[in-house]
Amino acid sequence: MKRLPITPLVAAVPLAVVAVFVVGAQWLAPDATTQDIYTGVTPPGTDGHLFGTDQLGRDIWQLSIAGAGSAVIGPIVIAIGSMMLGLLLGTLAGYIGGGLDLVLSKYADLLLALPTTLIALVVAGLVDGGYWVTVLVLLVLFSPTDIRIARGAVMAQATRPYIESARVLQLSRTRIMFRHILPNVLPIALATMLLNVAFALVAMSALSFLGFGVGPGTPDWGRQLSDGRDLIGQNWGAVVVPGLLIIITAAAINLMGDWLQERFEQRGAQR
Amino acid sequence: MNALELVDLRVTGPGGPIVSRMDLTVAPGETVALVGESGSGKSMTAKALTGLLPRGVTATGAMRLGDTEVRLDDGPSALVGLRGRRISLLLQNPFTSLSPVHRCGQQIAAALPGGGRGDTAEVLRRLAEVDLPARVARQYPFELSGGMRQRVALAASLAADPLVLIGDEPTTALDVTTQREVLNLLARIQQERSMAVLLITHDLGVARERADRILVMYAGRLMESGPGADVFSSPLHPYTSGLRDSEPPLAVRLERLPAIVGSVPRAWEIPDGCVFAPRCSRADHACTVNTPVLEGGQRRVACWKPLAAGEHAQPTAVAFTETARRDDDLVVVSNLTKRFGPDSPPALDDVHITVAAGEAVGIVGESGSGKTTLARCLIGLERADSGTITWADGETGARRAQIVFQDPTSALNPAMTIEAALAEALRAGGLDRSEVPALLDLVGLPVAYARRRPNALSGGEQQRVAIARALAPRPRLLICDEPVSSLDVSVQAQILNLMNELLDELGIALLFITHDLAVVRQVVRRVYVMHHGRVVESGVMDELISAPQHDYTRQLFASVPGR
Ligand SMILES: Nc1ncnc2c1ncn2[C@@H]1O[C@H](COP(=O)(O)OP(=O)(O)O)[C@@H](O)[C@H]1O
Ligand code: SF4
Ligand SMILES: [Mg+2]
Repeated sequence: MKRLPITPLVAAVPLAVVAVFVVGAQWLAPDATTQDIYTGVTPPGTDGHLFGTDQLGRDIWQLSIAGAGSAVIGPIVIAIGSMMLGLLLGTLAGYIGGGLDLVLSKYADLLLALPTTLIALVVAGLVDGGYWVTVLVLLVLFSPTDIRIARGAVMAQATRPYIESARVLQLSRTRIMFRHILPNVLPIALATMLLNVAFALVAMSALSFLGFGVGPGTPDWGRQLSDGRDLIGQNWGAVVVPGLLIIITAAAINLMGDWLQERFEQRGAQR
Repeated sequence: MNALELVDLRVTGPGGPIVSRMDLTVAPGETVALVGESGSGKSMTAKALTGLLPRGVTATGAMRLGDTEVRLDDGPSALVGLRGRRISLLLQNPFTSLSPVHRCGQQIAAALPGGGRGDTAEVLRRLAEVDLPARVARQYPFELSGGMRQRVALAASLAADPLVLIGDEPTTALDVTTQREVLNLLARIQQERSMAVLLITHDLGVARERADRILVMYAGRLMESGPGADVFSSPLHPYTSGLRDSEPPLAVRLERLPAIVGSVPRAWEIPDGCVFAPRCSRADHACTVNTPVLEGGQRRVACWKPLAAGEHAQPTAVAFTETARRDDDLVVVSNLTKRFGPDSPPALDDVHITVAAGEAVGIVGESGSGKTTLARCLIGLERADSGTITWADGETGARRAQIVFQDPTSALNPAMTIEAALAEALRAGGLDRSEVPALLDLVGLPVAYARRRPNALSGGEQQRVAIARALAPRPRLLICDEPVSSLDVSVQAQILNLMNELLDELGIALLFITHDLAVVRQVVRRVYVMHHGRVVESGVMDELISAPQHDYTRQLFASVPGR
């Protein structure tokens, strides 16, 4: 008799909703960027605007739906990219070891010592913002954690008897690395990736809150937050809706990642 | 009055019942052995009686410790204040009960009746009781040898003078010679204190040698109970007799060990009716419908068709006819020396061995004697400091030698299907994957297993796969490092039979490494005895048994329990 997994179910609901927002924004929120300066700010519950409008008369709810894309796509790219970078470099460091390991570990240590958001700010400011520049900078800054995790997992696998058996069969290093070690490290890397999506989502939103990342006028939760600050007296929805969306999405992804990680650890322990 | 009385113990876990309807009594000064293969519920019984069940596992039943009644239904809190004082638990691995950051003296002191504040004299007295010198009080557990550590754990669990001591495989992790010392010590203290001992073990030899009464457990139920002298000499239950027959004898090499088919069911596989029915050669329809209960007087058995007197004569043992050794050497090892650190004693010290083509050779010795290091040097996983390994023929790479490890679970890649693993090994020997079914057949596994992953197989089946993988490239030498030590006796017999069949069929050479003399006896003709990295004696098994030359060899034979 298996206990129903409550955690992933609870987390899956908001994630599914956000996914629908991302994919269906153009149908769900066709008027997201339609301005109506004459209406200006209206409070929640105004006719036709569930959560009111901002100072440009844009519908907060539609704007938030349209903002889902830039809020989650960048973080997903960051997490996947840094996972691949981490797996590649971590596997090389962990399995080949020696000088390569030393260099890669020092590189990871260096990056880890840097304050992520601050560096992203500086770089984004230097090369004049841009969404994808921010994504790239964050990707590089996120990778040391993945390198470390992959390296540790690879080293844990490398001394296991099944790897020794593979060595006794005289299989090539490449084959041992990619056919034997990698599939057993992948679950841990995937769980870490999910957690990174959550971190990156918060980091990206923070950056666009500070004015970096997406260009002006583009729907984005972080930017909505910073724009909405001035309107809080007239329309609390302008701040609360994107704010809640950020919190709920990040928390749901985090929950999912934690749950997966726990499961993989349990499975690992049973072996 | 009995020291321990247990009525209708039931332990239930998330996967279903773990222990069902267990009754048990142990008198002061008496030793009762609870035997059974892994997963039969022995440890869970011990944990239920001491209130140490893991989360998600609950117990019901009534227990009496001397004159104190305990209702196990009330949960672990019922045993607070009694654990340690009335009933105490000694575990296989002392590291789990001893704290790594406290000195041994402090740990014993903390367990003394008064909470033991600074009672140095009493601590020293307790250490002396377990034959340990006073200096141990100031040492940490990791500074001690396995045997000494287990003595400290024993002193700690006896500190509050319990009526009942439960030992859960207390000597399983120790070498045979140390095992004997610790068991002797335990017996002496038990007598002095008139303490009741419940000895949990999978080792029938230990049970036979040490117990006044033996209880046989299988899949969470008691199958049989009776006086220690009778249970294994005239078993009533088919499982008991199968278990006994699976044990390899030291005195003779058998053509074939009588093995029980199949393996111990996992919690969710336990059948209705008699739990042993799927593996029982006497089972009929009634057995699969009605559950037998433990009945009888002094000797009790839970079986609809118990064995009658005379029916349990040892199956006719067909002694193996040994063939003479061929004289074309496959590999010659000379002067092999290996140290792992500049200050550590040598793991291998000037070792010489030879294996002829097609010959089965054994290496026996206690843990740390250098057996595994020798194997790893031979197979190329380790490099010796000096000495030579000379292979006779031109065969190189994967076709020269292959290895089977002790723990089959970690020896197989969990992410790979059996088919992929075997195909890869075949390719390493220049062979085609179309031979996978033949390979599975060779090790006695159904061809349908090809699509499974290792975690869908039992330990014995996994070891068969590991053997198949090692044989796949058709090596000239197969090295097996403790290949049956982590398996249950009933499965161990199956694997030993398989190895003998394979040797017959394939004509390859075998280097069989083990600490268990009776096991190696069943597979090889010639052995090397290793001690502290040296080969202290070698020769034909029969001669070694009848006239061991070296002191250490003699000691090794004398320590084998229950003979
Ligand atoms: N922590 C646990 N939680 C739930 N079930 C467990 C746990 N540990 C062991 N079991 C189950 O309890 C049963 C008996 O195990 P155990 O008492 O360890 O047997 P033994 O000591 O005879 O080897 C097995 O089916 C096992 O799967
Ligand atoms: S009850 Fe039947 S199946 Fe069970 S042990 Fe006895 S004979 Fe075998
Ligand atoms: Mg156990």
